[in-house]
Amino acid sequence: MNDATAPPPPGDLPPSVYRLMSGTLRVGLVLALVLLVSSIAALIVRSPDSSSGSWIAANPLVRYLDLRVLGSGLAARAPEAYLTLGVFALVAVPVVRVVTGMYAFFVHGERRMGLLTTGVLALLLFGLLVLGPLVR
Amino acid sequence: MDLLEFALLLVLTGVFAGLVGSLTGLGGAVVAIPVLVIVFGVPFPEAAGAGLLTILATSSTTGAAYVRDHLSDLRIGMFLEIATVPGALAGATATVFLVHAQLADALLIALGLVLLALVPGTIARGREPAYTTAAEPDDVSRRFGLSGAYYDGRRQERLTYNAARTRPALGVAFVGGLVAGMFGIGGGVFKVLAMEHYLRLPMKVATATSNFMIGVTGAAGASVLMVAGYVNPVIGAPLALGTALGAVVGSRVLPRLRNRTVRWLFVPVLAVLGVEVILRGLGLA
Repeated sequence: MNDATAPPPPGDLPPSVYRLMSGTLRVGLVLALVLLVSSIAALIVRSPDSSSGSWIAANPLVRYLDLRVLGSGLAARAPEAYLTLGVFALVAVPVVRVVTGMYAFFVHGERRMGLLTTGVLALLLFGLLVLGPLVR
Repeated sequence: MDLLEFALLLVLTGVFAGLVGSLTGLGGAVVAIPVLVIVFGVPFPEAAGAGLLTILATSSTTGAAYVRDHLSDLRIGMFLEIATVPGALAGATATVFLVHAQLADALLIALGLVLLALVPGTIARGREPAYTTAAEPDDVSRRFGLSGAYYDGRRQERLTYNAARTRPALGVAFVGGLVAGMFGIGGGVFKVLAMEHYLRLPMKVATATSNFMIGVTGAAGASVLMVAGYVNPVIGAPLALGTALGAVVGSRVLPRLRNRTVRWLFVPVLAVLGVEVILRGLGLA
């Protein structure tokens, strides 16, 4: 310890929590990147001569924000639909991490931190489900 | 430029941005967004949307490594997120309204000013003495148990720390979230500032915890910009892949670097990009 007068740190969360959270981030990221990279590769194979300008001008994600259209696109193996799914997965990774943290805090008796983390999750869901559609 | 060439160049840009962003805890988007606008001619709101995807990739990559090594402080990260998330939601909402009001160039100038404003602070913080003693925790810090310890590899000793002035730190974290949501950058500099200057945490813990946090901030901002149609995966996906690769390298290098080395690595890049972005916003470049 570098300062004998400082209060001792509280009981640290067990190593399993760190492993779970680290694993959640790693697996989620790999899944999202596999979806994104394979979809981009499929787009390049399908439309090798398409210019970057046309893709900048027409965002393929907008069409697939509707979950029914996304489902149809996935069933039809449209690269744009899988690209959108990859973005959803990438955005979901930190949200899942917050859920993991919330669970860990409650399970280890840290009610105050658990409630605070629940508040963070509620704010994230508010942004995605309420605020986003409102300002669209 | 065809799609393959475009994607490969974006991956390379992402590698560089991810490396710098990881080493500084500021997020790769601080480099990636200006490069998208200046070099690739991507409109600002789409660049901001792509920037948020790079933040998500960087945070998940480096966050996983830092959490595994117990360098990120989970409690303090979660605690500050209660301020950064509403900030990011407000910032992203403001950007959507400003773009709808044809004020995207003004946002670009503001981004450039933010980048330039980061320069003196980054240099000044580099002159601060290295972390030596744990601060006196305040009442909020005691209530939430915002204390911890980590092993400093370079000094070869275990250092303890306590979060000090939590209220102003929450205010700075909110501003960090606001900037992140508005411009698509991680706002890591504000989080690092909140943790180093106010909470009085060691720089490496602050940087690692910032990397851990910026993903949640990015998800908040991305949720608004995505639904508004400003997250284009054709731009964001290759950039995010490159950023993740750069961030992996950065997170392996960080424990072996001196604090000041990390600062000086970033300052010139920041200044040049800031000036370029302002000129672009003014229509002079």
